[in-house]
Amino acid sequence: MMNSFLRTGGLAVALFACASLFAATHTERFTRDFPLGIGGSLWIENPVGDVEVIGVEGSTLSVSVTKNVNAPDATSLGEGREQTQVYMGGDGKAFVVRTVVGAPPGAKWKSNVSYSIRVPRVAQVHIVAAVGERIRVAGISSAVTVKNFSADITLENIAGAVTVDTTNGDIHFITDARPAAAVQLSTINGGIEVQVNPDSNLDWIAQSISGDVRTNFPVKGRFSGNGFRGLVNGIGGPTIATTAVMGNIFMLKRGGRQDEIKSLRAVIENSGGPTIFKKTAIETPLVQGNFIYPASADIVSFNIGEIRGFANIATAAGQVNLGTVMGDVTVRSGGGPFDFGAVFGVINAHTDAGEVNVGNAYKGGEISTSGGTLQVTFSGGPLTLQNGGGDIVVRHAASSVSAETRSGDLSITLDPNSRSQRITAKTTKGNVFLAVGQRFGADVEATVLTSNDEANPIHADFNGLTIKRDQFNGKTRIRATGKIGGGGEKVELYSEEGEIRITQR
Amino acid sequence: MNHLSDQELMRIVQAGDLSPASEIYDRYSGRIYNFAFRFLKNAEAAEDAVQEVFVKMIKYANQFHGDAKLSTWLFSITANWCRDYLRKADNKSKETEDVLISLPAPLEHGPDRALEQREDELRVQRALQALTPEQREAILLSRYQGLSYAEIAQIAGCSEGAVKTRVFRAMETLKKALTTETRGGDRWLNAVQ
Amino acid sequence: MAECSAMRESFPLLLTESLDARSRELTHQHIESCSECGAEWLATKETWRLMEALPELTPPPRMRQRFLAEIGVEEKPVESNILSFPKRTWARWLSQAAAVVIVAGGSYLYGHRTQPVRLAPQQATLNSIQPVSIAESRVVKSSALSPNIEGRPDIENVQFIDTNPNDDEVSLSFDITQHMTVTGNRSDKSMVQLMAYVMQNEDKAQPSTTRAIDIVKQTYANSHQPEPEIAGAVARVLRNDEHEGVRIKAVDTLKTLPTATSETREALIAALKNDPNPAVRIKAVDALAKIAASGQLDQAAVDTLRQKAMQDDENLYVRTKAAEALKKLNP
Repeated sequence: MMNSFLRTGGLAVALFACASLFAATHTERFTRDFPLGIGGSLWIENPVGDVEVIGVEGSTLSVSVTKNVNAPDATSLGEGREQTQVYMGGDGKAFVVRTVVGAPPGAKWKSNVSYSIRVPRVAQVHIVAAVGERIRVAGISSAVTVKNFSADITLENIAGAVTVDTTNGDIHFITDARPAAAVQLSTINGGIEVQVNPDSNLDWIAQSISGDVRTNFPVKGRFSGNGFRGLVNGIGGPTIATTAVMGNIFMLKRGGRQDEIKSLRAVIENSGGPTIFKKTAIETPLVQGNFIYPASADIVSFNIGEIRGFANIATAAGQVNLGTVMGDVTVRSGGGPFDFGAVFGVINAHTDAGEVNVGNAYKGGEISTSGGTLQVTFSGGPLTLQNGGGDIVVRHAASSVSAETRSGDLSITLDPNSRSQRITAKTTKGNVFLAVGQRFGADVEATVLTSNDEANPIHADFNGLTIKRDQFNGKTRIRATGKIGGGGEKVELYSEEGEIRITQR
Repeated sequence: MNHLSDQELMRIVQAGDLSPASEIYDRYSGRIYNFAFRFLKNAEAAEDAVQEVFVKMIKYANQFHGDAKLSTWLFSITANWCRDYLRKADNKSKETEDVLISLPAPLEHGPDRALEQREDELRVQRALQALTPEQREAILLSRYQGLSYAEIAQIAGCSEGAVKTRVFRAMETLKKALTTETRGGDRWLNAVQ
Repeated sequence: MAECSAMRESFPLLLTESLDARSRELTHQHIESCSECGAEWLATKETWRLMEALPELTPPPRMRQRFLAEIGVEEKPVESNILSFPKRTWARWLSQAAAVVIVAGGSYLYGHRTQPVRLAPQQATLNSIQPVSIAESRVVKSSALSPNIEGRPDIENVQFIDTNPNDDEVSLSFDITQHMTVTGNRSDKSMVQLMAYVMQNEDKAQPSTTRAIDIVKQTYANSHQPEPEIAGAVARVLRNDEHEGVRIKAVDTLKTLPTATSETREALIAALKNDPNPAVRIKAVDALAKIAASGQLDQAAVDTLRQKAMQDDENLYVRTKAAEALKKLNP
């Protein structure tokens, strides 16, 4: 009985081991040697996996390949092995190493191929790799290019020209020597670290919209726009261009002291010069008093629940979300949407790009965007709205409104109890809709300029408007004028290539 | 209807009358079929491409502007279709199949010559497949369709400079494959594992 | 050396005779004076010649039949059988009685599902929607309509009714030659076509794209049922509409639709690259980021996002958004 149990148990374990054997990784390793002449070039294309290339003496190219396939069962393992192919070939001058993975959508298997390559150090090295953890190239005296999506890239002791382009990876460029050839490193979301001989002379360009630029070298230069350009040590060196759109950039002495590293941003801020951008977010549920974020060139996003005093914000770019503000709101942004819940003071807000959403603007104000939809749910004071491109919507206006958009629809609904309000609404491409209450009275002047000479684009739920048509600048101009509800404040509506509707609710 | 220009025919289609469809089809189906076949190296896909391109032409006739060349517009749709086709991983295995086009050999040549021709044909076809899709698109449009770089740029959605580079790179690769390779073998890249 | 490579790049242009006289002359002079380029030129010419080996194929005749069948054109078309819709302006629409956009029941049931319905010369033989006086209103089930719309009829006063937001039934009413209300399931082919059409219906006298796009957003946003037809129509609005407010709405709507076709991706890429309105570009990045998150992003989109993140003169917010979108990508 006991024996039988053990045997069965043993069998189960054996079966489990078999199953997990298939679920495990299948690995193949092999190495191939090829001749590669002086002045030859090596091209590596690897969409999946790491790449290491090390320069050696001689004229032999040696490629070691590790191919891994992961699959839950034997069939997909076989398919994965078959669909993951390594190709190599070339002549004495150019040699290509290429991984081709034909994974169909929903394939159960996953594969990666990593290369460890020894190449004559005088050869050029070109690597295109999509996803991997690491790319390392070392000891090459000729040109190196790397194009990649997400691996960390390390280049060590490369004497030739270097171009590295990655989206999400970090770049490390390290050399004991003084660079003599041009180096160009760029990443979007990663950072860049350069370590060179302390005696190097370099013409250094560093660009980042939200990272810092730090160095322990003596540098001389200046910021313009998002970038720094200056000399490391002195003149006479090659250009080293470093772009990390969102990340930090370090330019360091090889073997130098950590505590000497200084932020150029801090140095320049202290000397009163312009600054570079650094992204931060300010999030807080409550500000007891006034909230002041002084004019800065930083990219800052704000998310604040309530401000008991006034708000005064200037940001280079970023979202501004303010829940309730008891005082006035003054906001300037180089780009990014605004969302204000309830503002008890006067609003004065402008963004260079993005939507503006205002819940209650109890005292009205001036709001503008260079492009985006502009919406105000309620306004209790005089409101001026300007839009460089996009619709303007005011859902409940209890005071005067002046709204203008370059291209977009204008829709304004007045307080149903209002007897008269001054309204100006103008769009140079789009429609104008105005909804008024039963008791509303005004002197109306509605104009549509259109290239459709048969159009009848002005509609009103009122009698008493006189319609005139004439030609203006080669277009048809239709004007409706007159008093509604016995007359009152002036209502001026203007549309090009659209229609105007005045409805009564 | 064959005396009408492409633009005139399209205006009729835009007005909702589809009768010029067959005339437009006759004018361009051959060029589109050849382009798609050479691009994809798959006869079935090339047939689908032609079908889709002309159906799209009818469906989106209103997007055609009279100041553009119909051929450029049609090749744009075709190139898009082909790029999409290649993008679908399902189709990758089909790309690699060698399709021997069976054409009757001209009578004046013996069977040897015919065989040689087939081999040449295959070598070119195979060499074209070794190019990146962008290079292949550019060289096919330039070499076989006689389009200008400006037109190709419009179709490929890139600059004329990029077209120039693509054609040049394509020619470099083709040169290696066609002038240095011995007949009957693809020595450039070999599967090793 | 730099000169050599520039010259060599011009070789294909020399072969197609596309170089201007001066460049042609310069290139020839160079070929004659530089032995390496001379050899390259000969090799290029030889390659060009070898490429002739590809035969010109003739498409099989069945393809022609397949195409003409799909668009409903017969080999010898009887033109009088096709009633197309002339473009009308609103002032004349009252007098338009005969043309009917979507023709109904009977012919549909007789199996013309994939072909546009053509009106017979005698309209009186159709038993469903007859030309009627404008005063008449009619309610039609979308399932009884042909999904194909003939010609480019003008439809006006489009209204949208969604009586019960919890079911998929919607109604669309509009004026054509009569006041018509079409009701049906939002995923019904005819309803989809009609919605797509409404959105692209150009009517200068009464611009309705804004409203139509709102309707479409309301009907199809976050729906569980992907409608590529709708996505395609919105994409075309995004590409083509001159009205910035409309394009902002279109890009917003694209983001909320469950489908990402290659057409929508391309429209978003084009918008991100070229739209002058920064809000459109911001929303295009958002929409591409959403597509990216679902793993449907292609190389062209990634390249455009990269280019935007790098572009010095782009709005900082757009650049930041593009970088953020790339960060989320997992190819």
